[in-house]
Amino acid sequence: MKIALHTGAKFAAMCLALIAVVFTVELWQMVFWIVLCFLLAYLAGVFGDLIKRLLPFIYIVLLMLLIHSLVNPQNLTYWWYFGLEGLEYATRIGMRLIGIVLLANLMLLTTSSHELINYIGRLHPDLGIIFGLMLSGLPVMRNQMQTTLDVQAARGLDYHDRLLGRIAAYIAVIVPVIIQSINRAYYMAQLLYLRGYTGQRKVLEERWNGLDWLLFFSSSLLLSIAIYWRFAHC
Amino acid sequence: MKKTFILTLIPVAIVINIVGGMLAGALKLPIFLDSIGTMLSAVLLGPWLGALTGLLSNVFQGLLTDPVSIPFGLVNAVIGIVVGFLAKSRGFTDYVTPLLAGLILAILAPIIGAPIAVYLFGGVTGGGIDILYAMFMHQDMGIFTSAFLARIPANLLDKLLSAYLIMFIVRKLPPTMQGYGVKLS
Repeated sequence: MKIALHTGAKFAAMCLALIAVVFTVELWQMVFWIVLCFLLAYLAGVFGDLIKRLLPFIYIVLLMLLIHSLVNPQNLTYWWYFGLEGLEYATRIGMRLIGIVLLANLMLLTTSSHELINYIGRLHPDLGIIFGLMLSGLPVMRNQMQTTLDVQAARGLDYHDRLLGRIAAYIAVIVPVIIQSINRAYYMAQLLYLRGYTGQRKVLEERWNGLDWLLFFSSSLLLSIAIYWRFAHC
Repeated sequence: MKKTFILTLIPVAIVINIVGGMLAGALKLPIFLDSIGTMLSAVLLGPWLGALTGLLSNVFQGLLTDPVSIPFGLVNAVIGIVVGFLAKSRGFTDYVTPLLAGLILAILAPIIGAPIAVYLFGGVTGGGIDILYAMFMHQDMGIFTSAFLARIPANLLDKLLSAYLIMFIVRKLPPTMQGYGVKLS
C-alpha cells in the first residue's frame, strides 16, 4: 500500500515532534524517540539513507563524549581518567542531537525537492522563486568554481602550499566567481522584468486527508506527553 | 526592476555562501568563509534583506543537506544586519568600515553561535577548534566561556577576510549597482 502524506502535514508534525525532543530530558525517552524514528524510516524505505546521513554526527557525538568526559569542569567523580558527570552530560546532549538529526532527515528524505519547492511557494510566492533560482544556480556556480580553480592552477596558482598561499588561492578563485554571479543576478533580473513578473500567483490550497490529520494529532499527543513528563515528574 | 533584482540577487548570494564554504573546504582552510554572500547582499540591498539572505541561506541549505545547520541561520542573519547598517551609515568603500565590521562580528557571531553550538553539539565542532575548546575547559573556564573564546580567533580571520573581499568588489562595481555601498552625500 502506498501512503501519500501532504508536505504541510509532515512539516507540522516534524515541528511538533522536534519541540517534544527538545523538552525530553530522560534517557529512556530519548531511546524511545530514536527507535521510533528508525521504525518509521524502515516503514518508509529510507533506512539506509538515514544511516548514511547520521554517520558524520556519530563521529561528533563520540568526540563530544571524549572531550566532556576528559575536561568537563563539572567532573568530580572519576573512573580511571574519565569523569562521570561530563560523560552523562555528553550522553544526554548526544542522544538529543541524534534524535533531532533523525527526525529532520526523516522528513526531508521522504519529501522530493519538487514537493519542497511547491510547499515553499505556497508559503510565499517570492520564497518559491528564490528557492527555485538557488537550486538552478547551484550546479552552474559549482562548475564555475571548479573551472576557475583549474584555470588559475594552469596559470601557476599553487594551492597545496602553506596556509597563507591557500588563502591567496581562495581569493584568486572566489573573486571571479562572485563577479560572475553578480552579473548573472543582473541578467536574470532583466529577464524576469521583461517577462512581466509581478510576484502574483494563484495560491493552491492544500487539503489534508484523514491520514494527515492522524499524523498531526499523534505528534501533538506525543508533544503533550513530553511536556507533561517534563513538568510533572522532574 | 528593483524588485526583480532583489529576487535574483538573494538566491545568487545564497549560492555564493554555499560555494564559498565549499571552496574553503576544498582548499582545506581552517575557517568557514560561508557568509560572503550575506555580506554582499547586505551591502547591496540593505540590512533587512541582508538578514533575510543569511537566514534563508541556512534554512535552504539545511533543507537540502544538513538540517542541523538551520539554527545557525540566526548568526548569519545578524551578520547581514550588522554589515547592512554599517554600510548604510558609512558606505562600504573605505578601509575602516570592513575593519569595524570584522571586529564587531568577531565578538557578536560567537556570542550568538556558541550557545546554539553548546546546546546542539555540546560545543564540539569536529575540527581544529576543539583542541582550543578542550584547553580552555581544562583551565576551569566553564562550558559557555570556553566555547565562546575558542571561536573568536577563527571568526576574526573569517569575518575580516570576507569583509575586505566584499569591500574590494563593491569598489569596482558600476555606480548604479553599488546600492548602499557608497555613502550618499
